[in-house]
Amino acid sequence: MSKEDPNPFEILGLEPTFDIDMAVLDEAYFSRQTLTHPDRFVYHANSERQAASLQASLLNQAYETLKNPALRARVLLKLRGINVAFEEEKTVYNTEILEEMMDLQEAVMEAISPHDLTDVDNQIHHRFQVTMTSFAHALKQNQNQMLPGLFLRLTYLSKLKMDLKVRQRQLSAKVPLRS
Amino acid sequence: MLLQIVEPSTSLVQEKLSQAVAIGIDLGTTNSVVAFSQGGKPRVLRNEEGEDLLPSVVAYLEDKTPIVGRQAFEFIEQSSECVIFSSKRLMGKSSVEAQDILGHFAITVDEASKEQMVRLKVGSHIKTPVEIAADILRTLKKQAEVALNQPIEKAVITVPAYFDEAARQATKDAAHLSGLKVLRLINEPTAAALAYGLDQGIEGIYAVYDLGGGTFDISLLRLTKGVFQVLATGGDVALGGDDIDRLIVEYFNQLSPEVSSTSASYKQLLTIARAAKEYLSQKEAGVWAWPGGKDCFLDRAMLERLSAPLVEKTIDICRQVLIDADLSPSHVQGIVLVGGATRIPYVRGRVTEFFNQTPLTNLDPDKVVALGAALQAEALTQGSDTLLLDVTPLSLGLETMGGIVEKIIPRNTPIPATFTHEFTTYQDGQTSMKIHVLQGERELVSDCRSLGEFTLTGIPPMPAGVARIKVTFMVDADGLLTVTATEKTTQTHQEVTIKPSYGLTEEDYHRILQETITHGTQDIKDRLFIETKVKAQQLLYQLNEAIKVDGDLLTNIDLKDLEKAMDLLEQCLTQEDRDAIVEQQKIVESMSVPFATRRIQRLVGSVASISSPS
Repeated sequence: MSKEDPNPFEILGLEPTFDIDMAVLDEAYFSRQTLTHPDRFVYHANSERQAASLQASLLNQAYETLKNPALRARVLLKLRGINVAFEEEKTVYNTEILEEMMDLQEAVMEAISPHDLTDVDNQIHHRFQVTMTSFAHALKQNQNQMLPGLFLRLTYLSKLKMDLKVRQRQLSAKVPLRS
Repeated sequence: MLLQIVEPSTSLVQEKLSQAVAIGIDLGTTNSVVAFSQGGKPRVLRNEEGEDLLPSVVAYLEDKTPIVGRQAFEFIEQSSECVIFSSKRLMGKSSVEAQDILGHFAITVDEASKEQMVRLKVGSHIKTPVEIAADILRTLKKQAEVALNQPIEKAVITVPAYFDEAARQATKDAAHLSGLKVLRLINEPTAAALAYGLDQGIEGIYAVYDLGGGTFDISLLRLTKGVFQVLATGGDVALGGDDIDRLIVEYFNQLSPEVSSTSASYKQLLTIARAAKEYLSQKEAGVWAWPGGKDCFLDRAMLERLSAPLVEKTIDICRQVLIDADLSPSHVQGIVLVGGATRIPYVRGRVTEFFNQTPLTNLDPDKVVALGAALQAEALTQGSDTLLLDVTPLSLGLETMGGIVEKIIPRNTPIPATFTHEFTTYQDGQTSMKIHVLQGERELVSDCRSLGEFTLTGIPPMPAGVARIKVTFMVDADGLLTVTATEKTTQTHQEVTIKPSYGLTEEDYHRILQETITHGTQDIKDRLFIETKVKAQQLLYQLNEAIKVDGDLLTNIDLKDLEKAMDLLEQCLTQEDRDAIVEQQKIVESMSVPFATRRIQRLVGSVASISSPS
């Protein structure tokens, strides 16, 4: 998120919080999208259709950002003035996190059946939940020094979840892809 | 006829928007359907013979108007080379790709077209898939006009969810040629969900399994109080019931190996194979007379064996889409079956088994898409409480160093979607930059579909790395991409339209228009002039309405400037100079952009202040 990026909480009219109620998020998103979705502007002038379309895409982006815990955490850090990019660079030296993540990554890559993935999936999921709870707690207690580290764990675990999905997709195919 | 142009009158331009009528069209690989909805009740519009499915088959005979539909089949025997079916498979394809797809078809590709949009030799004609689609659409338009007893100019047209940019653009071009304005392209599975959701009032997560003649789509949707939210979509645009027909042809040919070449055309063989396939959806087994060979026996068990790999592939795609959406089959509350090929008992069985529940089939799988399109057409013209939130089926990326694709808008991103990327120059004094846009999931440029390359020009000469070029990619609600670029240090602005590599060129468009016009009295200039005039008049009308409501958003000076420009446009309209109108219209449009933006902000702001008082 660069400086110019709009604040997704503001776009959706929500209080900035990590413990977001998904039903509330959906409701905020749907009610706004109902007004600005391009389907409501089929008969308007070009310039208005485009402005509406842009607004709808901002809503989409804000919704997608807030739905994703790691991206949501990033926005909240940013709002507290904590520089995330700098912290990300520093992690390269955070061997503790790196080693843990590399172990999990290996487990994902080495799985040869969907069944193998279930175990590592559970592990990643569990650690993700624990980290989310810690992050939410640290944020509430204003333990700002804890936040970057927890954010990094969230980001890494989030990326691992993506890798896991890619692997799941690969392993789920029973029919070879068209060559 | 293509040209049914009415001289623009005040009534046309200022037509009460709420009274506009629009139809829904399912432009299918095998059959096409047109439907209309009134008061939330969609119905299929039949032709004068009472048929509701129009076979997507066109016969182009010497010096005759195209014959579309069932009658076109009659020419398969005598002049097979003049009859085209399944042309939807070629939408947005290049000649090279088309040759891969066509395989056995008797129709040949015009070699001259090479890397451009495919052109087919059809008897003595040269036709693009876009023109063929336009002929089908024209027939449906007429059918609707007769059934509804009024002229129809607007439509919602469905496309496979997995259609790429080029194929979507081709569909839109075809509609334009046929004299229909596309209010929205919607995805076939989404349309089907709309028809089911509104008909049955269902809520929760639903899967739409759509196996048509030539394409397969699977979409997962979440339905909540009138909101249809697509969670993920997947598919294959070269997988459908047609492929089963081909497998049957191969099998029957193997049964009669003594016949090396038959007098029958491949298309005739396909017709028999299709009949066999359809028969076996009702009965257990049958015998078919194979031209030049012996009688061939086929039963359900054998048909299952033949089609198993194909059906398994669709199940694989279902599995992958569930992974994409972080769901398992048990989350899915219902499955909607769409497409003629879902009548095959084996297909139905495998879907039931995979999702562990019986699919919904209350609505006819051949018509449900058109019914959904009609509902959306009504929603767009008459207003509605429902909301369709769809996604991009394929990732969009840019070519970077070493022929690698950098994804900028990943698949399953809700649309409309905007992405901004900043580029800089790598050479001193560099004034232009090439940008290559690709679509697909693979890492290498050579494995993805090229959407087009464009060059940003007019970058002011600066040392390398100083220029800041902000490029905005926007995928609109039809799934089509536009690109705009601004050089930030000097505010040089450029709008770039991505011309799909295999799209219809301006010359193509004029040539086709010319050809269709030969019978009529009007010439292209008239048509283009009238189109331009109507557009300008509509713009003036819309702006005047906007000023009436929200004029306070403009300062007095801005308002005066805008009105002055509008007056000038009004004056241009009294003269027969198309270029002047186009030019002045552009000026008015660009002047009204800040006004439009403020209007939308006011609209959004009104909600924001209700839900979060601050």
